[in-house]
Amino acid sequence: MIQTIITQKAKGNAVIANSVKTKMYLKGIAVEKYTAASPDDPAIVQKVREVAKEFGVAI
Amino acid sequence: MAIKTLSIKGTDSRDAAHQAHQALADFQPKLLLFFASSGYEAPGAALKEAFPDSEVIGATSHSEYCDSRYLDHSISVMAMDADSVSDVCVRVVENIAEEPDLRATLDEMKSYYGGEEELLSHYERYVGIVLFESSAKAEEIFMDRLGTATDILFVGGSSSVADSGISQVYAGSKSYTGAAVLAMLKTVNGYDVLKTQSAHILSERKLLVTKSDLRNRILYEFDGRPCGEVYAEVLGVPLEKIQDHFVSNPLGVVAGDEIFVRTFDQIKDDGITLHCGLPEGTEINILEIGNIVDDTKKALDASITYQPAGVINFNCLYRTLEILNEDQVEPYCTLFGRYPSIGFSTGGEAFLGHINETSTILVIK
Repeated sequence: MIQTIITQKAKGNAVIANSVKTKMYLKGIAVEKYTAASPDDPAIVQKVREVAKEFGVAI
Repeated sequence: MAIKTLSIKGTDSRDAAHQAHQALADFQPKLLLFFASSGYEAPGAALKEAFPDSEVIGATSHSEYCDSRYLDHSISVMAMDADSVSDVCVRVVENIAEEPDLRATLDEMKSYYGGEEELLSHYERYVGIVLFESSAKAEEIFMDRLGTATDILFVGGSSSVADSGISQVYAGSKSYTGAAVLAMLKTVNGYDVLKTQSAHILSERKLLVTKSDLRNRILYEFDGRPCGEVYAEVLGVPLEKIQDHFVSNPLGVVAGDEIFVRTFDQIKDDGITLHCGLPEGTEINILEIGNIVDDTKKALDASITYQPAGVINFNCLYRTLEILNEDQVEPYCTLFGRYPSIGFSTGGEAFLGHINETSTILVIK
């Protein structure tokens, strides 16, 4: 989910990808801590969904 | 000459604007950016009167930088003409403490340049400057919303005050409190953004913010325990001594290779107030402050490998005070004397978020 947000927002622009990642850290989502194999934490999943909505990204 | 820098000391704002007008007699600035000691009354209005065809923006300052000089009771001015900045769009957002939605404002700014597609297809040309009036203490929410509303990078800082006057920001002929000034620049040759904080990770142990009040900038708990207790544990100092470490051991959000510093204010009831709020769920590290001059030189030399048209330094007031305290003003200013540059001692810095004890730097190529 996190990577989807970054990819969709960045549209191939590496600077934007990096800034989106940083914005997510500053919103309280430790981006690199989570991988596709990470167990779902409902609180984090909810937070990521809210961020996706703010960014106008469908996940 | 695409960018000119000036340091002025006038008897009043009108005199300072007159001096600026004389110094820039053969120059037609698109944008006039200034940092004025808060002792000057309405410097923006005076400068706008002297330069009616230019966009004029600025902020009050505790102290100013211009090229290789550190000054007080002065006005530092950067004038950018069409050779460096081909266009500027300025908007003011008032009452930022009410946490306004910025989408409409940013949509206006994007439309000014022909829409989002134009901005993204020439991303390397467009950059923003944000100047906060610091009394609202709402920068972190504002920067979060700004970052949601646009992918364009905004760099800047919050106003500060000298020994007289009040904190203000300026746009056109008006002065504002509790507001943010946004300027979106279309540069001719592009830009770079630097951030240097002279702070390093002291402990690799990650602390999770489990209870905080973001809006009031109060931190309560790390990992479900009182934050002061955990902070003392990591530092290996008695709980009653933690205040002695607040300046030298701030907190940092580590995002990849970048550190975003959050400094302590004071112990309050069962929490600790900060100069930048932390949302719950954030992981932080405890930092240690390094050598400002050495770290700034490394950051500048690594990024500015060309002769820039101009450099704008938003340098935290804490850092200025540390430089003064350590008698490092001359070596610090010498670093910036290599470029046409201005700066001021900020009450908070801005880049992707609100930051403390940092220098955010916009380089116009």
